[in-house]
Amino acid sequence: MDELIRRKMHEALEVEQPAADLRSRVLSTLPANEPRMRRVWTLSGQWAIGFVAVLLAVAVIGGLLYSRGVLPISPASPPLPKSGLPAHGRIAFTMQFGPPGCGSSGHLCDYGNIFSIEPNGTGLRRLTNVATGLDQDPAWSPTGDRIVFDVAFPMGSGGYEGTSSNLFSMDANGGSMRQLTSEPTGVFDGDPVISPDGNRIAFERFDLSGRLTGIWLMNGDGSNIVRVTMPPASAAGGDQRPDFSPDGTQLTFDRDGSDNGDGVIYIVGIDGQGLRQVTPTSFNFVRPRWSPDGSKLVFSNPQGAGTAASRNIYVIETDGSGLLALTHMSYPGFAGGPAWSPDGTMIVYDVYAGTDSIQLAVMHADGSNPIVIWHHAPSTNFFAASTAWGTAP
Amino acid sequence: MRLEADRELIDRAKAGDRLAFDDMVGPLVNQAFRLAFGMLHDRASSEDAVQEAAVRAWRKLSNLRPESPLRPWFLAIVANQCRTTLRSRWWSVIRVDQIETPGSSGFEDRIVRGADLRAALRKLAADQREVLVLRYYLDLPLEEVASITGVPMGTVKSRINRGLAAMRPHFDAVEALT
Repeated sequence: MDELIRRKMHEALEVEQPAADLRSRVLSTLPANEPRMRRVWTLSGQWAIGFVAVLLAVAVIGGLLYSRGVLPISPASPPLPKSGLPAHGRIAFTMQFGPPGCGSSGHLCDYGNIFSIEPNGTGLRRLTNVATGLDQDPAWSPTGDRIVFDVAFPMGSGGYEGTSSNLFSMDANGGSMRQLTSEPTGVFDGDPVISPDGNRIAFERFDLSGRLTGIWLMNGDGSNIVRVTMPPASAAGGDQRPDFSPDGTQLTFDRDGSDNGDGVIYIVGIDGQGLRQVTPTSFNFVRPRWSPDGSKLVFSNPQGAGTAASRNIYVIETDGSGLLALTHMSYPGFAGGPAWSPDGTMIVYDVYAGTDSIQLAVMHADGSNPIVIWHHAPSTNFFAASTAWGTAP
Repeated sequence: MRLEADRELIDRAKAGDRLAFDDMVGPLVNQAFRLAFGMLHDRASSEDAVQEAAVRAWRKLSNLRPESPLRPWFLAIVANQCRTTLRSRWWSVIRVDQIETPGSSGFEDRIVRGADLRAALRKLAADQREVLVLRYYLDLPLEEVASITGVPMGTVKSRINRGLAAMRPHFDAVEALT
């Protein structure tokens, strides 16, 4: 179908070709003046020196304050000393590298890999190592010895070849990598999670033609794939980002209704029965994660495309009551991608203060005591996301 | 195709070297025209859009980082120019339909064959038409479509999904005939 669409589009639109002299006409229409950036240097010498001096002073003072922990990650979220953080388990996350702002609002990142780190911000390890592809959305096995994840395009290919995505698994240290699904162009498997008994994997499948879109289940080795949900036609964004209930009998996921990725959180049995809506339709929420005691879901609202709306983390009882905001970031800052600690007392998430790249932070389950556990050197441009907190030592 | 602009070339262009700018943008002119025609369905307007986009690119060279991919940067400017044209061009449907009269052979046959699909494309919302053209006519990967349109990948996917859903009756009919 994908190839048919491509062929018909070419047939319909290739009726017109540009004039042979279009390139030369383009060059001839350039204005006589030099590119606009040269105007910066029309400042007088005195003004330019003063301007640079002020910039340097602000940068130096800001850097000192930040390095000493004086600058908070948000007005409501001052960082705390790392000494109070747990040292058990490990956090897996995706780190994408690229130009400033990459990873959000459609800005390209160059590549992405999966890393793990201890919850106190030490012991950073690289688990995958690609230079052009995008390895993302890691999830731990219950015993902490394996990780499943998705690859936005096959490793080893050149950049800009992302036409499908597939699921992989690997050891907790990045070894014994194994491909679990192999999709054709236009079909994207993503956001896998492992069942509490370690035997099944739930994941999202997005088919550009819409036919295969939904939440699916399969065995740990990629066999016995069965569909769990089939989103209605009104849910153009599909069903995405599933997570198992602690007893393994149900799944929660977000059903995206519109172009802006706005989602409503649902719960459904792993047999596809008993679908029920958890969050109000009037809010947009994505990526629910089930608390270890089974009573709550934590999630965030998506960052609207091209809007100034910020993103924050929320929690709700599984019966749909008690919706509560845990973070209060203001645009352009945001907090998102939350995941519970194995004991359910803390939450890890990615956070952007509006002036730096996206960082990793943890907070107590009630939203108190947020603290950045890891951030980058200022000269490095990266985007950290899709966190998962496992039991690996 | 080289995706990253050569640092020296960019520096020369920023210094006002038109030939350096031509070396950078010239190879993308055909692709830019295809994007513009896919959006506007009118040859003259498409060429105007590409020329205007090139002027804007020339003026915005300071925004281009040396290591940044050149194609998404330039095509994003072209797409933006097309959106501006669409917003101000209420007469486009009438004008395009005038050229889609039945013909007997050759070039005219091709026009007739694609007429239904072009008509279906024109009925789509501009943002859906844009991603379909980028994905299926310019054959760009989704990451680059997201970069050009300035929206997240999920939004690109859902726009494609909605666009294809709206055009599905047409494609299903074509599939049944082939």
